Order: sequence, then structure tokens, then C-alpha cells
Amino acid sequence: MTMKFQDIRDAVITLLGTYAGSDFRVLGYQDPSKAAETVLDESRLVEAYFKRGEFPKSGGALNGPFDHEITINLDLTVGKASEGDLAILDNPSADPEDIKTALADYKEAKQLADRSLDELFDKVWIILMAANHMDLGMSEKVSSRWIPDMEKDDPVRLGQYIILTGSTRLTCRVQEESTGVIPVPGEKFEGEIRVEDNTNEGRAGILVDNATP
Amino acid sequence: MNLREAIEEDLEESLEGDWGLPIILIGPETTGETQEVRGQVLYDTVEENPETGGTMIVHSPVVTVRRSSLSPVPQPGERWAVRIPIEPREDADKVTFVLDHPSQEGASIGFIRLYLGKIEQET
Repeated sequence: MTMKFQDIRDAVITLLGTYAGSDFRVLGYQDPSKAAETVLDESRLVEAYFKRGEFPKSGGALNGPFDHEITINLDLTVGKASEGDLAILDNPSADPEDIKTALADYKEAKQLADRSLDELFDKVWIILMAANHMDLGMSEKVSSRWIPDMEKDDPVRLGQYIILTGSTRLTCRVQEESTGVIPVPGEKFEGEIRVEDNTNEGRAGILVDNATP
Repeated sequence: MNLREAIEEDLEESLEGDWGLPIILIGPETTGETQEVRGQVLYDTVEENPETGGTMIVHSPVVTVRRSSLSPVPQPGERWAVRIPIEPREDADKVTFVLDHPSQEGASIGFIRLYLGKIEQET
């Protein structure tokens, strides 16, 4: 049996993955090296991972169950190139008015990346805070599910692309129970325990062997 | 001839001579004019990885042209398209990029660098 924070982490990843469709990708860990090409457009990325746990101490918490306040981090990354229709520029005899319109109308990567990240924040929040996802898709109770904040970073240029990152976090509370230490298979205790035998003279010897067969 | 004039004159050979490639500048968006010039194209550049601080090579073309051959000269904030050969050959097909930003005036003598960004066909 594992601690429940691992179940919560897996439930968040599963929930996001189920509803991501072709809008974004979900990773269940932090990827330290992301190429710009891997987070473009609908390949935008959500990295969900356990970040922090707190165990508030209380009088009744000595023997458990133990309250565990969990923080799952969600790092969002989007990448964009400029978009537009500049096919008119291939035509040497193009009308200058059409060229002016094409140049004025294309959408810059900075703006597209900004909107793409806003849209991703929107999708992630809606999935995780949906009323029917109160327990994050788990069969047991999850308390105090909450997304306390969202934050956008500064855009960076990576080659021909604009990369924009942001982060949000999901907090919730579960109750953990310690199952105790599981015996190590093969560990063996051997010894002799002396027991007084009042009915018979002499002594009785007991050999204890807890090794698994 | 002072040093600045000598450098400017040298650019005719070093940027626009046999070393150069045909470049087409289109813009700004207020005029839609087209200029055909010659210049140098650097197809891959070394940049600092913002995540790690290390260096990396990225496919991000940079065009260097003689400032005196341009009229008008691209300014920051303007929208320009730049067509460059798809590979460093005189007669190669051209591909269109958009101007991300030009180099700052005063940082060089006689030439300007144009940092290009990819543009994808709008769907």
C-alpha cells in the first residue's frame, strides 16, 4: 500500500489526460529539456507532479490517520510561430495594397503564445474544478480540492519561436495511514528462549524461526 | 577618407559582392514596398539557452545588409517580410520569414542585422 498523495498525483494526470483530447499533452513529471518544436500549437504541454506535502500536527494525530495537505504543481508550456497568409509575397507582380494588407494582418508569435497559454489555463482549470471531479476521479473522498493561483512568466524567444510558460497548482487534503513496516522476505530470527517449566524438571527450549519458506 | 567611410565602402565587397546572396525586403506594412538587395545570411545561430544558461545552436536566420543600400531602413516595431534563399546558393528558391527585430542603430558601422522569425500558413 502506498501513500495517497501518489494516488492523487496519478488521478490528476489521468483526469487531465482523459480530457486533453488533441488540445494539449500531459506529462506526469518535470522534463528538464524541452525543445521548442515539441510544445508548438496543440502540442502545448502540461507537466503535473507532486510538489509538496504538509502534515499539520494535532492532538489526535499521533496514531493516525494523518491529515496530508498536498500540492500538485502544474507547469504549462506553449510555443508559437507567427501565423498569417503571406502567399501574396511570392507573386512578383502583387498589388502593393494587397501586400500592405497581408503584412498588417499576420498575427505575431508573441500575441499567439499569450492567447494559447490563457486558453490552456482555462482548460486545465475547468477540468480540475468541474463539479463532477470533486474527488479528482478517485473512488474515495478528496477534501478541499482547490486551485489557489495561476501565474504567467515572461515570454522567451527560442530560435524562430516564442515560448511562454506559466504555472498553477492544485491543493487538496487526504488522510494517510501508515501500514507499518513490511517484513523483509528471507530475514530470519534464531535464538533460544529459556522458559521455566514448573511441571517437569529441566527446562524447555523454543526455537523461533519466522523466515518465509 | 576616414575610417567610417572606409568601412562602409568595404561592405560593398564583403556583404554585397560575390559573398552575398539575393535578399528581398518587403515592407513596412504602411507602404508594402519591395527592395531587392544583396547581403549575408546566417542560417543557424548560437544562442543562450534561457533555461540552463548554456549555449545552443538554433535554426534562426539572421540577415546582414548594408544600411546605405536600404531605403527605408527597417525600424523596431515595423512589420516587414524578408525573403531569403532556402539554402546558401545564388539561384536557390526563396522562403519568406517575418522580421522579428532589427539590430539597434549605433551598435555597428554601416550595416544592420535583421533577426527573422518563422511564419506559418494560417489555417
